[in-house]
Amino acid sequence: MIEIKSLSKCFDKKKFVLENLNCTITNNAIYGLVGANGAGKSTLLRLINSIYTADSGTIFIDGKDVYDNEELKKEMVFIPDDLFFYPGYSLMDMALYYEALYPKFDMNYVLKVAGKLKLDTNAKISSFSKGMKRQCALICALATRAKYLFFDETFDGLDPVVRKYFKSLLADAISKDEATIIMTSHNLRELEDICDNLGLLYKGKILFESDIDTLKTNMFKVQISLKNDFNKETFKGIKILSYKKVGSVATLIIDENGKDSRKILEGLKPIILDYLPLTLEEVFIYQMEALGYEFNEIV
Amino acid sequence: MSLTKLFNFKYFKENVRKSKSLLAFFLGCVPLFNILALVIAMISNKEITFLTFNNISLITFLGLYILPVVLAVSLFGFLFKRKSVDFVMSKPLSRKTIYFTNILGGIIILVIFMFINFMIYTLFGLFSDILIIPFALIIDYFVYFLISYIFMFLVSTLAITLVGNFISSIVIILLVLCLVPFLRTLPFILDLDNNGYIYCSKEECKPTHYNCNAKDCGDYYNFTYTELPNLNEVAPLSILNSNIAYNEDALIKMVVLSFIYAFIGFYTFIHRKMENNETNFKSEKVHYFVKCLTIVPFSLLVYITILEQTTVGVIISLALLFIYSIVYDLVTRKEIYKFLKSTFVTLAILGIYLGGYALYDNHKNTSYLDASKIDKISFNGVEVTDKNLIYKLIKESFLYEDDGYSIKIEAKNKVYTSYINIKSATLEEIKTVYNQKVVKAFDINKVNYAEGIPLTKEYKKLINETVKDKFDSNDNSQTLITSYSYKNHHYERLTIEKGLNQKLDNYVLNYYNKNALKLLENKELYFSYYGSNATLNDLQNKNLLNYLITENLASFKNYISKSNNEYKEQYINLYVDGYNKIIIGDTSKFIQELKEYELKVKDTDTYKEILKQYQESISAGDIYEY
Repeated sequence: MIEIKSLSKCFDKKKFVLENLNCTITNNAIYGLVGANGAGKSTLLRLINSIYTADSGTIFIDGKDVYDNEELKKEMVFIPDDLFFYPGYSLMDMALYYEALYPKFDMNYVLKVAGKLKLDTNAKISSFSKGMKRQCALICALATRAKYLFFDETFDGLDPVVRKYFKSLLADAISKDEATIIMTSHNLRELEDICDNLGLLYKGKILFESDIDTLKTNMFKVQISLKNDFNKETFKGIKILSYKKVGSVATLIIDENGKDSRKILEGLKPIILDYLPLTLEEVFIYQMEALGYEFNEIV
Repeated sequence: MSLTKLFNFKYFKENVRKSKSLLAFFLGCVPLFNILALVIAMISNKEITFLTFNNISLITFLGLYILPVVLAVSLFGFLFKRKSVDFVMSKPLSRKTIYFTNILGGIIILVIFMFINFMIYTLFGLFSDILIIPFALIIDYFVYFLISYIFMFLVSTLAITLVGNFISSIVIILLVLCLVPFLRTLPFILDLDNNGYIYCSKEECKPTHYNCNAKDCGDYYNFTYTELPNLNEVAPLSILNSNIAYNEDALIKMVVLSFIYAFIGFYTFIHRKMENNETNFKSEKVHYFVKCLTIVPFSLLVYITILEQTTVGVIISLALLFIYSIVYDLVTRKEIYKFLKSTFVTLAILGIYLGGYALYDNHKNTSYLDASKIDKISFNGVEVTDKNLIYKLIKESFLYEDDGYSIKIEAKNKVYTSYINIKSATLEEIKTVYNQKVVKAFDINKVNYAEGIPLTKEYKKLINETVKDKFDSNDNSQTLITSYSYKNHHYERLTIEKGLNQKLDNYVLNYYNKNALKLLENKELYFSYYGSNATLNDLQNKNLLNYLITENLASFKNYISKSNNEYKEQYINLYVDGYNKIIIGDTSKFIQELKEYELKVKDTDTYKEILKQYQESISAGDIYEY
């Protein structure tokens, strides 16, 4: 488990990139971190990986302070958004580098995945496309068999087929290696399919976090029309995050919050009653609106 | 934490692997050029050549400015880019491990590099007949440059850990190396007038003729001298000296500073803000602070031109300062950074510096040199440490009758230069004492070369017996052996005269003759003879002599090997080549032998032809061969 307490980091003594951030990430799951540019996503990952030094606060993994902890770092791997490869290195060279530093590194895994993706392990990485470079980095990271994997803009530059393949590899890492993955993205749609939990980072703080299943099973878009005239007050007892009425049809965003709204609404004998699923983006929009933020300003 | 935990061999191996081409190129250059220089020295030198510390150091010395910096950049250069910082720092290595592995790894590479150079010189020293490279000299070279390279490497790593950009690192390296020595040298640069006094309260050193126009004479006498800055600088700055020399003080200084810089480097790396990269001196204050330090030389230039009262000079120096101010901003900030503020800061600092120089100039005291505190006066390779002789030199220094000498005075760890006159008699007295000291200090076990003869136990014993209580004559015609010993980081020479020890004379003579006889076939002989009355008459002609010996080679060899050869007053050297010679100790016997050869060939056409040519050349007054 990753526990972050009161974490603060500023770069020029005035502006905090992260300010008093608290967060708990459970093991054996994929945690998606979303936020606008400059929200502090990459900084948070760098702090967890001891690249940067926090101004205050602590980060513990499995109860141990993570900062500069060589033993713990053997179970951690970080792939940043801006990839780095040594000049003239091939995928095999990079794999050997990782192998030297990670005790559980699996060279067969590199050969197997590179073979499937038809990557020449002996070709210079500098001659590869952006997507192929990303593939190389991800292969090396997954081959470490590390328990904690941190990916910044994970699938940036990957085509849909390769993206799907890597998602399956991440799922394998979770199921077989009991890995915990923390990944950032601007694209909520991308995280929706794969993440178990999501956190929204805004102005250096986790503004909102939840597990996706809860979000998606608790929130619905409901279109309803009643015989008689009605307004928002008609739906007392239901947590409505958003209410819009056009003509005789109202659109409600409902947070079930443990209650069975369908029963209540059916009790009103509606002419129309449709339950529609929400996209993750819509869930976030309505949650943020409920918290008093304009989502477009945040993501 | 144990050293094995701090040093991660796998990380070190990967570091070397990633930079192997770069390191191989740079670290290979010096040994290759050293080999090339040695081969050239072997080819171009026909005679025995004694390689000095200066000779063998030049290429390694030049490498000192490049290799440690390249090595430091290849190991710590990841700090220059954010993405490489992300890559390295996220790996399962603590900051301590990264720092120690890179530092120790760099040192290991430098040890290997120096060992390769060490082996090159050792092998050339062992197998070259022409080049004399004493083992002690190679040890000196190894120790001096290993410490120098490690020092420069640590300075470079410190600079890199302090800043996050290559150019800024170079600026910091220059500041770390040069700032303190420059500030220490500053008073000497500002000391434009060299006049002072010599103080002597004793009769022994009271100058015979002197001027005293500034002070109430007392015991003070006008004396023109210049105090030299202490040049025991760290190796990279020893270029300020006229030659590269082994310097123990500099070595100690470098060892101490290496530890200090390594510690500061460790501290800064452990506490380094890894987000500081790809920019120079993120803080504006640091930017201006470094700028202020780097404009010291320019401010000094401005001050000197002001003192010299050259308007053009002042304008040029100010222009240089202004240009530098802009270039510094451009290089470190990649823009003309806050032009007005930057110019104001530069001018303000210039004002402060100029004020400081002027203040120093006003308050400096007229210096004087106390004769009783002088430890050494040296000139032309002679070092006078005897108090009486030092006083004598001071006493006579104001005479303008004999030869003038540029001297170096050492007193109380300070060094001065001056120009004095030395009486011929005093000079002779000094030379005798000086030579005597060399002989007394002579130790055959430290001799690296004695006339090219292998230093066998017997030979060493004979030399040791001979040199006891003998003086160095410096008379070439009487020299039997010239020996060189590499001691106290330089060569000492001792010559042994003929006739001091008959056994030694014979040993040397027999060695040469035995060796040269092996080489005699198909060789043209050159000869020289010694002794006032030595003459071979007609036989002194090279062609005649060669003809006689060639035609009677068997007899000649027999004569040389069987004759009871020993040095007489007159003797002849017959050179087989530039180095090997046959020594004829008894010239009269040899002339008799030659006459017999002549009888055997005198009726041959070749002999007659050679003789005719020779006589014609005598008539033409064209005899030049000996």
